[in-house]
Amino acid sequence: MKKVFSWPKWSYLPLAILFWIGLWWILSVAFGKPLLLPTPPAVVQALGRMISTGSFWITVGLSLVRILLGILLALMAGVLLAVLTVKSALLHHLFSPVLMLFKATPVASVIFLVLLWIGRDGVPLFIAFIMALPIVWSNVREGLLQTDRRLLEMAELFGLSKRKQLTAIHIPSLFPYFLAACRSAIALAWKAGIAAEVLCTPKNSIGRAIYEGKQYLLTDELFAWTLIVVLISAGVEWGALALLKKAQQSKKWEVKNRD
Amino acid sequence: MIELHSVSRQFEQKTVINGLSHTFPDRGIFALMGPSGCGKTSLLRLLAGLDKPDGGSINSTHQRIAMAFQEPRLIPWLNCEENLKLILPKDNSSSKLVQEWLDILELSGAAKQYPNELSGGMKQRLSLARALCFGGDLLLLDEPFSALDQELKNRIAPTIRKACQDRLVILVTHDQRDAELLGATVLRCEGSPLSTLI
Repeated sequence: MKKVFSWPKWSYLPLAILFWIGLWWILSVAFGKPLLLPTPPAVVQALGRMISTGSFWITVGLSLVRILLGILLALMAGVLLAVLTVKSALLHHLFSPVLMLFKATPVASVIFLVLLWIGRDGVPLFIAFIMALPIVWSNVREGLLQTDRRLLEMAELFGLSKRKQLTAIHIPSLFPYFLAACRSAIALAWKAGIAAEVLCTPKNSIGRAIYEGKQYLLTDELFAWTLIVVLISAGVEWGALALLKKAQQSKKWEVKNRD
Repeated sequence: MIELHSVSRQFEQKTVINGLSHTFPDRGIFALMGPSGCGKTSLLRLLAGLDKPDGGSINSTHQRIAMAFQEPRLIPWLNCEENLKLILPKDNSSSKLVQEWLDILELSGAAKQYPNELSGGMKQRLSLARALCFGGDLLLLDEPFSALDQELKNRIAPTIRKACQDRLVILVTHDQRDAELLGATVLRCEGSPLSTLI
């Protein structure tokens, strides 16, 4: 029987990326206006220039610290809020409208308001925080509500301490929900944090660099910064999820089939 | 000893136990028998302290209660051995006890397996092993043999019967043979809703 050639599975993503870069290259050459659509080599050159400067790393580092701190605070506050609102119906009713408001309010309005209240440097952190908070809160709350009551009843009957109940039942039950929350929250908060930087232009920030790229028509640099944002977003998400999954596997929490 | 005084229990407007009075001694094996839905499991839950009676009172001298639930209630991310160890204090004697009960209930070969890798009967035996190795002065067994074949029941019953001595054991079953295997005194659940144990 004649063997039909097929691409190996691992090559799908690189091939797809190559296809789109190729298409971009063709379009930019055909368009012939590098100020509007630079070619991929021009963007790579701009990236090379940027990376070789010390200020690039300071800019990337500070943007990362600002936004990741916002995400980290949202993770902590989201878990705390979820626990409190599961424990108390009063708190649930009290916080629900606030979190709905966070979800529904346009990011741009919040950015300008927060800019007025706390100044430009704190805005990206705050925006990352309020974008991630409702996601973490609702996911973790759902996870807490979905914890198998029968297992908790069994644990109470056999006199398991609260600590044992937490480590043996609550945390493993919650973990898939927390993982899903991290996945959504990191991507969204990172993008919103960069958008806040673009609008507020704090010193040494990726957003400011993007804004300046647009102001001075440095389109190749604008593309290069965008590429950096995408790569960091993917890297942060991948790193965080890899760490969490490693923790999950080491504790064998991934066995989810219930009896 | 457990004293039930005119105990009543309702579920969603439906009375399942009505004015039940009975006294269980400090030790002994009792089998509650009766038709499905007559309130046996509800009574067991009251005795375990998992539910409170809507009327009447329950006075119990038992402090340490173990129960094998109708559904196994095993922790999915813990293997068989870990499921048993979880309810015991962390020491060497616990490991030995766990191994003993896994052997008795013919589960030693599955010690490292997870609940989703076990058959229904194996899960039930693991749940029974958990209740038995916990010890305690009151052991409540809700249809613990329903998924086991007769041959296996015959093999494990003498050891379980021995382990059930010196404590109060209340077993819910539909099979008279289960009660006989454990040498249990049969109490028939009478009335609808349950009002008398004879």
